[in-house]
Amino acid sequence: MIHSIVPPYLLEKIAQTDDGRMVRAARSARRALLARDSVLDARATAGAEANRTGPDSEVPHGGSPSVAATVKRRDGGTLAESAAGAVAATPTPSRTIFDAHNTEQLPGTRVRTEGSDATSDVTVTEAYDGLGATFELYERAFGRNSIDGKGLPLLATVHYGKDYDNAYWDGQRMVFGDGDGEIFGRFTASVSVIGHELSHGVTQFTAGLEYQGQSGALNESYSDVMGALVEQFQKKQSAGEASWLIGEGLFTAAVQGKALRSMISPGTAYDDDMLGKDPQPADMAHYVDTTDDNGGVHLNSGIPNRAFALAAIEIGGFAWETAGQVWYDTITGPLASDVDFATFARAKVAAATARFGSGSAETKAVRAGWLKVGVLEDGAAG
Amino acid sequence: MEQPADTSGLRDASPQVAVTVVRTGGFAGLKRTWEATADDPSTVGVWLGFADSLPWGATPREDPRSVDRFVYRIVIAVHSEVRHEKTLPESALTGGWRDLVDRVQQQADGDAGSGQSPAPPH
Repeated sequence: MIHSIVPPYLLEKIAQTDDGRMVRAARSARRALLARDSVLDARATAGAEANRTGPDSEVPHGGSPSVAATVKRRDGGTLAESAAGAVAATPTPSRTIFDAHNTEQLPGTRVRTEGSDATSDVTVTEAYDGLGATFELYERAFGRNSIDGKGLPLLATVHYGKDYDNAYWDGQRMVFGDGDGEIFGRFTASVSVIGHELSHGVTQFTAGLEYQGQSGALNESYSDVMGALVEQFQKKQSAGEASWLIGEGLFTAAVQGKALRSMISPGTAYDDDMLGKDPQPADMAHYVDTTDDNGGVHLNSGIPNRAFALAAIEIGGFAWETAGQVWYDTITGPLASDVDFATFARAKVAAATARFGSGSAETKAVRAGWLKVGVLEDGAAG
Repeated sequence: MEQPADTSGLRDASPQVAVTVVRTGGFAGLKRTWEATADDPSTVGVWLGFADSLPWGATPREDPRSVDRFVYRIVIAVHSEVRHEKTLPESALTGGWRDLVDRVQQQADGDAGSGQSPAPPH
């Protein structure tokens, strides 16, 4: 049973406050409410799945730790005290890893569930740990319980396809290829990739940004931002210490490149004889108009990526507490699914203002980032 | 309007048929291109017969919830003139489309001898 010294209506009131002096309290209240909701959902889920079994079921069966285990704390306790003074459950992940055995059949064979021992397969371990690291960033930094905010189980399939040079989100699960061994190694090797893919799920459950043109590039950028933040959170790196690289370590040694993308310096991640030069633009003057890749979603994402990294470095400290929080507030706030860069930039400035105040260093840095990349112009930055 | 697989009059020029596959997207966002060409008359006929049998005018199956998957653009050119062109999401790359792309990639990567005919569609 969950006990809270603060009644739910008061938590909701605190959670909704826009008083700049109560930022931490509001955040804590939201976390407490989310934790309460996750437990309620867990109870409903546990009841509905009490008799559900099957070795290859996509949702962990009732015998394994799952959403129903959200009342347990990571350290084995049962309750956690929020910073607001409320006592509430801390959500925990419910991870299941499948192995496609180098076929394209999903979900594959279940090889690891929440709480079970690591296998000898490093790919499975990386996927499991990466899911956990991503869950932890969302839960601790933003008070979000999994992808949907309600403790959704996290599913991933590894060893997908033969020499498959990709990782993707299919709307329900993350899918990882092993790479061809010539250009790419396994896609689980970088936690930024795992954070990126899971964050596509968060976008799916929040803003639902259309995967085309500028809204698609924002969809990609949000995933890159969160992928980078998962890595920074794991390493406890400040914005100034971070590499701002996405997919570091995925290329084999044969490729002349350090990563797939550079958020702080788009267009410089690789320059290889066979692959050519990283084609990402760093500002609107070099925006790429193309019909390829759903309107260049993986190219033009370099522009909002750089705006974010510039803001985070300007603010300093841990990016998930400042610029990252603003990105998260924006994606979970009112936003059209086909939003363009300029409208999104104004929404981010508004989100920064709501959380940190109009004259704050955070809001100034967010605005300056968008100005620097040419999305906003002086006098139009909100 | 689809054109029939007419290979008459194609035997005096080179290359007669070029099949180009452009893959974009994916997590990496890398653009890769493969091309297979055919000059031998019998091989030209097989390539075009295979290509013409594919549903170029059909609307591909949508996969709106997937992200970071590949996008394929396939172009069949005869004497440098585009005969067929199609853009497909990875989820729609099945059956004959998959056979065509696999064959072009194999030939371009040198896994199969140049000028070999494509595998028959499933």
